[in-house]
Amino acid sequence: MEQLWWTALTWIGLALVSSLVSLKIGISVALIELVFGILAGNSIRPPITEWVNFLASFGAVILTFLAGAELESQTVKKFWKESLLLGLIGFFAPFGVSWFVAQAILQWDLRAAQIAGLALSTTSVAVVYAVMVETGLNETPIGKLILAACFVNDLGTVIALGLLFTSFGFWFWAFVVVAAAALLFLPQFTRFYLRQVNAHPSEPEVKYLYLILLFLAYFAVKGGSEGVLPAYLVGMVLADSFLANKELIRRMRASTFALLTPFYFLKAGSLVNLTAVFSSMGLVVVFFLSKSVAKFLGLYPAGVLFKFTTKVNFYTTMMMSTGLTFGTISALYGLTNGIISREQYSVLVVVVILTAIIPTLIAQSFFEPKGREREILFAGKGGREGV
Amino acid sequence: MFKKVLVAYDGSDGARLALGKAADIGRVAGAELHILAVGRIPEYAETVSEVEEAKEQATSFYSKIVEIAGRDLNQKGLRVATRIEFGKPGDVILRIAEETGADLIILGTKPHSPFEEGFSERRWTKSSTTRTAPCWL
Repeated sequence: MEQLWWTALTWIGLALVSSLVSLKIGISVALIELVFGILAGNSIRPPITEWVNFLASFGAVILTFLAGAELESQTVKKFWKESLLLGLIGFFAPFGVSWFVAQAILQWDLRAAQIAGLALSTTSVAVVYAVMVETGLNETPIGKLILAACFVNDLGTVIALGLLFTSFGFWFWAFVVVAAAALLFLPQFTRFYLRQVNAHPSEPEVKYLYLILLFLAYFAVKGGSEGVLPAYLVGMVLADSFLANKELIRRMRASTFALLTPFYFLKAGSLVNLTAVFSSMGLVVVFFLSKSVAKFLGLYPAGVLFKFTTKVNFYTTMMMSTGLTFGTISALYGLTNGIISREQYSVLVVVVILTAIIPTLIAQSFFEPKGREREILFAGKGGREGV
Repeated sequence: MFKKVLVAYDGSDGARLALGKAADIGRVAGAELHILAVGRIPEYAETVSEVEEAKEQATSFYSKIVEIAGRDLNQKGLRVATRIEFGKPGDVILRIAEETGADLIILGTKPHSPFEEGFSERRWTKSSTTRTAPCWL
């Protein structure tokens, strides 16, 4: 019995150290947890028990829900053409190219190559948002457009992850019906429910959201899909009521970041085999380039089409080449379901970590729009005030 | 002489000393003072709400500090504007200096142990700002 407490102690200890390091150096705890997970997995090897797996999976679902709930529907509506085109290209270009590279050049089997494509098709709304806030671009039209496009990009990844590996049997269609009904009725019912329970100390709102997400995750997995798919969609349809309730976000984040996501990121990191990574550095470079080049070749011409200035176009392309959470979720899905090997997983996760860091640094160092470039985009649509 | 002075201010002892010097310069030159506090937000965040929460915490921490500093200088008859921004202090200070057209940046420092001097963000802020500042520092 004491083994249970020792295991818990090890994981929570790693989570705490990650938080303290994050606090000290100002880098997101997710990235630090991934790195500490890698270090721990290759040294002390904390045991991955059933309950660790549950907390990690639930963490991924809640994290995906929170990401979905970050949708600013007004911005997407305003820049729907641009965000839809950029988002779809941002998803399909790296997905297709990385899939092709993995299958045709590296001889990975079809499903493993699709996982590689998915893991590298992502972008990161949160990573981009942090950069936008830092540069003051989050309030400008260009900033809002890029964020909306990133959102569409990630939606593509989540939908593909939810559909690519399913068998479309009876339970899948049952899941589709249940999810469709939930998505239709949830916004109205949730508003009604939140008014009724009114922030009671027993946290009925958080438990309500957990229940919905677990219910849909059950049907998704039963139908051969993935629990993060309904979580993202539920987040999207509840975004407006959720964003209006900052206290609820804070409470939900507190429980998620304290107990759930550390297990997800630490576990995702601990499964990385460093020996495999060092012996496959060439693959890391190939996949990094396949994602970055595909994003560039896809997004840059689209930017030209929308008459972005050269600098803004480079900046947009670089920002949309980032990725973190959904990249690791896709890779972990592949590993958990036996689609990719531990070595393939290790390479993909390291590439995902690199794509969170390198494009951001390049974009900030060389292509950050300054002065009038920040406001000039879509002046005809109302500029800053109109967004 | 200086017309716009940007003071990077975090309420620390070194920053208060710098603010005093800025006030002296402002009085002599008749310059407008811009007090800037920079709150840190996590890089490579995992959710937008994580960034938002960091912003809220920084705002709640710095708003009083900056308000008191601004009020003190106002009472001394100086023209003062205050603002709180977010990000890496070095980058943000330079960006705001450009945006406001500041011709002098003043920021305080404090002694560190050799370890801290080597690794702390404060040192990085100082050196990166010194290297690329668009005006006097």
